[in-house]
Amino acid sequence: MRRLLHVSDLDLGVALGTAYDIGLFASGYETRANSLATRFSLEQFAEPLVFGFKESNAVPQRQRNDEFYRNKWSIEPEILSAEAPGAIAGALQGKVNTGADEVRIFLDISSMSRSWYADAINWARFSPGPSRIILDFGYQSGIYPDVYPSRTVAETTTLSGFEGQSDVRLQTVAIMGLGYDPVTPHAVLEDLQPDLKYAFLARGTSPAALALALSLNKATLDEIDGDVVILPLMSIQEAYRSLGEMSLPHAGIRNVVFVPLGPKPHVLASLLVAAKNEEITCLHVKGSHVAFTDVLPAFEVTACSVVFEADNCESQ
Amino acid sequence: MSPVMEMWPTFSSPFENDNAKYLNPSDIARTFIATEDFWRLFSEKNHVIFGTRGSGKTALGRMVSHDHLALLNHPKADQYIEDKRYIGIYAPARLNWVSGLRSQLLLQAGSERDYFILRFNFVVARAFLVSLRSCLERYVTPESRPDAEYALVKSVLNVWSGSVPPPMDIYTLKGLGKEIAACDFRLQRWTTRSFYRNDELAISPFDRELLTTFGTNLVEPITVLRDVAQESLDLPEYTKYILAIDEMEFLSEEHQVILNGLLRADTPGFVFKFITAPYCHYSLATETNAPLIEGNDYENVYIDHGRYLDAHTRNELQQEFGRPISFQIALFLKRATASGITVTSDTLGGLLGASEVLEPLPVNQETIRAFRPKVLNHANHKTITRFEELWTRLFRSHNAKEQRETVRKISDEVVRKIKPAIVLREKIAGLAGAKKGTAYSGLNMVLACTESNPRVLIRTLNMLFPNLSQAVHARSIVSQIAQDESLSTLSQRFLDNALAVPEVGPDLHRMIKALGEHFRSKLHMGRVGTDTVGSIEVTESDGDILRLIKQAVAWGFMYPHFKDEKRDVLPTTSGEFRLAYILAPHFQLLPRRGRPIRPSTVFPQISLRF
Repeated sequence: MRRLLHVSDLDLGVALGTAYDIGLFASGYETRANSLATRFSLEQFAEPLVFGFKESNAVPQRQRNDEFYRNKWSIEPEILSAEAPGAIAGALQGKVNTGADEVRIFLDISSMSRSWYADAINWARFSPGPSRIILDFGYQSGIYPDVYPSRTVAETTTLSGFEGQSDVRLQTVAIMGLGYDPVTPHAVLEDLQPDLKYAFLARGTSPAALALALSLNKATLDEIDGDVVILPLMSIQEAYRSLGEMSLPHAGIRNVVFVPLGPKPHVLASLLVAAKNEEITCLHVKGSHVAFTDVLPAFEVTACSVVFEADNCESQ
Repeated sequence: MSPVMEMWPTFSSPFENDNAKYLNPSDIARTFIATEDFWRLFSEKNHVIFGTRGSGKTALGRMVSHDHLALLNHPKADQYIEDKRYIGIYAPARLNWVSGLRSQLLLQAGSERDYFILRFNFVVARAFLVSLRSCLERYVTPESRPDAEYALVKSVLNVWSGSVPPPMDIYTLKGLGKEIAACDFRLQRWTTRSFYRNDELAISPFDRELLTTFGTNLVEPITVLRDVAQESLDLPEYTKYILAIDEMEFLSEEHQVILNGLLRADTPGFVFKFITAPYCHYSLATETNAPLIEGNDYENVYIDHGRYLDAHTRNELQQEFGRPISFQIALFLKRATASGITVTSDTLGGLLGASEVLEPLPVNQETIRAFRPKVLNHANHKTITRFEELWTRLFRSHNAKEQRETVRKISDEVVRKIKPAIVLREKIAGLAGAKKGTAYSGLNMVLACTESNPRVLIRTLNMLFPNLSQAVHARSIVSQIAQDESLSTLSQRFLDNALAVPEVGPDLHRMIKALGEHFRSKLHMGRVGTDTVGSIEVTESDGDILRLIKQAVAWGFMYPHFKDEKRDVLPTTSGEFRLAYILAPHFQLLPRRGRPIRPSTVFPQISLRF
């Protein structure tokens, strides 16, 4: 077992000059899916791995992204379900030298399913092998369309490995990460009926983006306890620290449920807080958009480094 | 503070809470309004209780449990507690718990059925311990309680884990409950870790025992404690345990099929109450291939059909406030009183004033004379013909009795029926530019729009009175404009919630919008009659629409209309349904059922995805 030791922001320039044991990329249906990959040199990765979603492989942009990896890196994306637990962990375990003391892995989460990077975090926490695992996460921010289509909520489940404690005799605190979809937060709050509701959203890359998110989520924000917490999009370290401060006073005495519906850096920060405090639940609200929304790469990239270290005192 | 109360810290006044989940046992007991339906649950029968969102299902379920019932100031509750007749146990299937049941990772460890039974047994065990603790407080003297509690803990542990002790000494039922929850969590973590290690990790002997005991048969961990509880608490043979399972709508059909076995099997000393949303008891199937039979294995209770105060509550309220009190006013009075605000039965009416739209006109000749131009201006040919016929009769008659009779007839047949529609039309037609609306205001309008749904009512009152105490103190009437704005905002938000319904949200939203807009056009455009359209009649041949309407009913966007059917039986293959009245302000409708139309009248205009 390993415990999450610390989370720190990482300069992309440093990542671009680092030699990694494994590089993990996802070929998705957004234009930005291979944007970070274009900035790395294939030689930086002892084992480059590219996975493609089983679910959206007919989308033209997805096929272009596959072509990129096929032509530039000579790697055929391995098709995986966006949801299957253990798939990423299995791939990592197969590539890692279990006798090594330290393993360093780069993950481009720009277009990656949250189940995949959750799986990688679980692998870093629980797999046998190296005493120290460093996961460097990179995220290429995106340019979203002005009108973001709302989606149909299908099912709410927990992210595998992040089930947390759900003692029905305890009160529940929901910590909602809001984005540009005003419907899903409503759906979750209506179902969850938490005793306390907090919310956070991204400062975004422009004041207009923040204003749009605030206005779209007005009905939800009217319902929450206290003020909405505005977190930086480009600092996972700060988001991790703030979400820790929001959740830890309740952990263990109430059921704490993260519902990260906003940008991936905040989903990641929520997962990392839950990885540090296993009582915390991370919900995954599955849904479907009426149409795929292409997201173009923006200028900004954020990255962070997460260190997991063996914890020999850890019990069952 | 009682030990049970510690688990439920209060962080706002009961008036501000629109969900029974948030209230502590004392507050919920103080604000609970006992209805006839509630007391039906205290019987030897199994029940499936249906109620839409916010209808008070959770309050009902929680009040069944012994720790809550013991706090209810009601002679029946006193009697049941005193006689040890019923011991209620409340086990909710909360979404965050159910979401864990769907975890693909945890399901990989074994069969979904076994995993569900294991996790469910942990929940009911935890709930059972809360009720046992309440019994201990009621039935054992304070001096003997610590020893009795320790002995009870030991006996329970003996049944659950045999000679294998827990990791730490446990002296109280509360401590045992916490250990049960901790073990449930440990086993879940153990599954996760074993999965990622690709190897089964060691498990403590105590957890292994509980894994075995709780992983066997549904609710067996508590049914096997019947003898232990009987002996420790000196319970009579006739004591019935009532296990209320709340929020069953979140469970899958497969899970419900497993639970249905509880309604079918005869479990000595136990009865079961399934609490769910309308149409959300997804299957009558059991694991034995013999489906449940309503009336035989269980009975339905549909709480949205009407909230009738029980005789004692009705009389008590009437005595206290000097006149008959409706469920809604009773809810307001109880919530306000529990929040330390002094109110009377007239307070709410005083703060909201009269509804210009719904308030009936006085029955006299002058009123009819004054109203006649409006009838001629707004009413359809049939209504005008009838009105004029009676109007002519009135003025041709020289007999005072006959005149009085005709006035009453005009009033009953025309004015009373058409007046709300005409006043609403005039008010809406008068809206232009920045002019604010006033139609949705007044006590009767607020009560009509919120129906008897406690959550909708409390949310509305909270919006109308950000500080009720101050409003009551100042006796300041809330302006009609402010009331109209509040109701319209809530109405719009309520409609928006339709988008959030899983799977069918956009279709449901489109259907409700199409219906609402159709009804609006019929009410506000052209001429109007005494029976405007306002509901929809569907049959089995309207398959997709009927399925969507059932979802609408489950979520409280629509309600069935009962004619001669049994009040607890929801229409399944055909029926009349109307929009929830809280949607009336958004669509500028009257909070009335209205004449039904067929789906084909409206739905060619929209396209559903089915």
